[in-house]
Parts: sequence; C-alpha cells; structure tokens
Amino acid sequence: MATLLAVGIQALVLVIITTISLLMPSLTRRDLLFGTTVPPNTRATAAGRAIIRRYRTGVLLLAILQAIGLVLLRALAPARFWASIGIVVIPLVLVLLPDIPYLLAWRASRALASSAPPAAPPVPSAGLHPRRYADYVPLVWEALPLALIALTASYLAMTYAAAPAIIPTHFDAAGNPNAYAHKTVGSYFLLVWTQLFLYVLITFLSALTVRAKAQPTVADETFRRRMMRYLFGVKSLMIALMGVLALSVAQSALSGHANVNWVLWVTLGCVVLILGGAIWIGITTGQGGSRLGINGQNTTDRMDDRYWKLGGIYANPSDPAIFVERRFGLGWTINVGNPRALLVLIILLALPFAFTALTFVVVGR
Amino acid sequence: MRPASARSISCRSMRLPPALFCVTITSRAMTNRSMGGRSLGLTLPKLFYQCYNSPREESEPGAGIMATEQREPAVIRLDEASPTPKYQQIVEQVRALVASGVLSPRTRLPSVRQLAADLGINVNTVLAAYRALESEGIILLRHGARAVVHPRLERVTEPPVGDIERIRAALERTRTDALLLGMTLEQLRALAAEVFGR
Repeated sequence: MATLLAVGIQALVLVIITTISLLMPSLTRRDLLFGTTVPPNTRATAAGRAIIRRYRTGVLLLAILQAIGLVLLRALAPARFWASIGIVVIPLVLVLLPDIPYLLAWRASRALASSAPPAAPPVPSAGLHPRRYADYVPLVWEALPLALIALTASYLAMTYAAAPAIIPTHFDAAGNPNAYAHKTVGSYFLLVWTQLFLYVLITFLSALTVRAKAQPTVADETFRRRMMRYLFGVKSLMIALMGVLALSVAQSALSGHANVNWVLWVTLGCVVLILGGAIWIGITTGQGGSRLGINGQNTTDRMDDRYWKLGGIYANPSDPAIFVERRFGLGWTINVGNPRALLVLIILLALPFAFTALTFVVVGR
Repeated sequence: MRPASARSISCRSMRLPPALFCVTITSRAMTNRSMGGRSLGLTLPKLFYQCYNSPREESEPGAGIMATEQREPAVIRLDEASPTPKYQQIVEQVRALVASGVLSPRTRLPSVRQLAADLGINVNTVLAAYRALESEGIILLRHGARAVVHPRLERVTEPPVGDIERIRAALERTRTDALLLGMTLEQLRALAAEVFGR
C-alpha cells in the first residue's frame, strides 16, 4: 500500500511537471523564445515552430522514459527503498530532466536570434507609483489566514488538557502512529507554529516580489495582481491544510488512532488546487500578462540577453533589482549578481531549514 | 481640453465613498475656480459617473497604474542616447508631470530602490534626481527615500512676484534664443501655443 502510494505520488508529480513543461513555451512573453530575445512572433515562424516542436517531443520522450523507470522501480526496488529518504531523488530527477530539452531549445533559439536583424533597444521606463503588497492584496483579506490560525490554536488549546502526556507526532500510511513526543506547548502546538511560519514566509516573499522589476503597462500590472492574489490563495490553503492536520493529530492523541485517508485526500486536493491555479494563471494571463491580448504591451523585459546565463539565470551586478521576471517560466527569479539578492536567497533557503531543525528540537525526535 | 487638475481629482477620488467624493469634488472645483483657473470642463454628475462606473479592474486595489494609464500615465522614460544625464532626465520629467497635474501634491512616489530597479539604473542616480527635485521644492523626501510631491504645491496662493519675474526672464531668454536661431515671432507663437496648449 505504502509503495503504491509513493509510486502514485511520483506519477502525479511526473504528469504535472510534464504538463507544465509542455505548456511553458506558450506561456512566456511573445518576444522571448526559451530565454532568448527574438523578434515578435518568431514562435509563429517555421524555424520557431520547429524549435518548440523538438522541445515538446524531447519532454514527452523523457516523460515516457521516466514513467517506465518508475514502473521498473516499483517492480524491482525493495520495499525499504520506498520508506527511505532515497525516494526524494525521484522528484529531483523528474524536475531536472526537462532541463535537457530546454537547454537544447535555448541553444537553437540563440542561433535563430543571432541570424535575425538586431532590434532597436527598448526604452527604459518606469511607473511613478509605489508598489506595496496592500495595493495588490487588500489587507482585510489577511483576516482569513489569521482566523484559520486562531481557530486551529483555539481547538488545540481546548483539547490540550485532555490529551495524554505522550502524543503521536508521525503516522504510517495506515494511520498508525509511529513516532511520539512528550506533550508540551511546543510539540502540541507544532502545527500552529508551522502555520505562523508559513504565513510569515509567504507574506514576506509576496512583499518582496511586489517590488520586483516592473514595466509601466496594464498587462504587467494585471499579471502582478493576479500572482499576488494567487500567492495569497496558496498561503490560505496551506494554512487550512495545516489546520486539518492539527485536527487529525489532536484526534489521534485523544483516541490513539488517526484516520489518515481523508487527510491524504485533502492534501492531494490542495496540491491539485495550487498547481491548477498556477496553470490557470499561466493560460489566462501568461508571463507578464503576455496572454491578455493587450496590443503593444507584450514587449520583452528590456534586460540584455548577456546577463541571462543559459537563458534562465539572471546575473547583473549593476542592476539594483533583487527580483526580476522569469524568462522561461511563471513568476520571478532572483538577480544572482546582486549581493542583496543573494542575501535574500540565503535567508529564504535558510528559513525552512532553520524551522525544520527547530521542530526536531521541540518535538525531541 | 480638460485641465490637469480634473484628471488628478478623478484619479485620486476613485476609492472614496460617494458622499465624501461629492464633498471632495465640490471643494476642489471651487478651489480651482477661486485660483482663477479654467473650468474643470466636466460636470459633477459626469465626473461622478466616470469615477464610479469605471470597469471593475480599474477600481480594485492595486490598479494604480491602470487607473492612471487610461487617463495620463505617470511614467518616466529614459533616452539612453540623449546627452542629458539620466538623473536630469528624471528631474525634468517629474517636474513636467507635477506641472501638468498628472502628479498631484501629496502623491507618493516610488522608493529610490524601486525606481532604480525598474529603470535598471544605479540607485545613486535616482537619489541624485530626488535630491535635486527636493532642492527645487518639487518633492518632499521623508525618512531618506520615501518621497511625495510637495504639499506646498496645492496651496491656493498667488505666485510671489519674484517667481513671476523669474518666469518672465526665462520666456524673454527663450524669445531671444529663438530669434537668434532664425525663427520668426509668428513661428515662436505657434510653437508656444503648441507647447502651452498641451
């Protein structure tokens, strides 16, 4: 059962990654082809279509190979492999493999761009209004995730006294507890701390990306607003999921058994909603609002191709921007050439690690 | 032509409740007339209609650029081929936007870092522009980088005699320059009508 579940989750990850990879060339700005600036509508030319077709064929072939690999692993790998930390390698492979057809397509796009006549450099422009998180997500909306956290904390506070001195902290696939901790405010309210951590982390990230390099266009502004609201939705959904998990853990502490089936379905539902939302924004809005159909506003991001390493890594020490729009993908990436951006990246990477380490200390595992 | 103040009123009042909106518009309209300015060119019901029947997207929070984009975008554009330094280009464009009413007094400007990031230029260039604008009394810098269009610009006062003389001298200098360049007075008047009529 556990093996089947693990394989099922990996297969779901494979389907999602393949779908997103296949869609991606159509979601980016029209004058960017695999991270390379090209004349507008290059995608519609025979050469542009051929590059995209080869990329999609590569992604599909790799997906088929990965699916065969998963089936073979399911048949040949020992059961203990699926319970080990080794299975984290699988999603990593699933995520990284589509980079191979991307890099080939990027090289072909560069060759195509070099044969095109050089375009006039775009005029640097900026809107004269400050961008703040509250302008994109009404502050009153924040009452929802905060209320969810308060509800979770209230429920746990009400059941705290009745819970046994030793509480379960981890469960197997059948719902039986397989790890325990002494009941303390730290361990019993662990999921509330997780909710608070998620709230702070995602709000911080949203507030930073609001200030990412922008263009003074309606398309760009619409994209930014939708993305900020999407991030708010992700934050609320994850906090709600933590609340459901807290409810389940508290019930198992009181009854000695947790019915994890519905928790699993709720978790999968959240994952589907989050990824479905991202795909929906991609299709309806496109990167930088490029699919909104606003004439004359699907211009490139003005950044020189020289600063884009492999078409996807932005490194420009003379640019004060911390976040910039991704060239192949949805959302923003970091300017690795800016020391402040590197500091932000280190903080963003260190925070989850620090929090995980802290939970191990609190739970005592 | 609609005067600049009307544009800024309609933009700034987008999120006001109707009652407060009426008070604001009425008082602003009266202020405008008392200043000896031209009529707003819009009746109160028409302004009311424009502000409260705009598409949903516009009136949502965060639609700042969209609201201004469809009237008069408050946008800075740098000409990289121009011999004018970038900081000077920013100064001149902000001055023009304030003078034309696109940026009204007390309007918040982006932080130095945000503007520098959007334009892809050094932070110090934007800081130099903001400091120059502050020394001219166009903007007010608060806590280092948080800038607003100077509130003194909305005071209803007659310009000091000294300022009027300064403008007169500038106009006379322009006339002299034009004549020295071979323009006729008629050509200069046509040009002035084109510039001032904007």
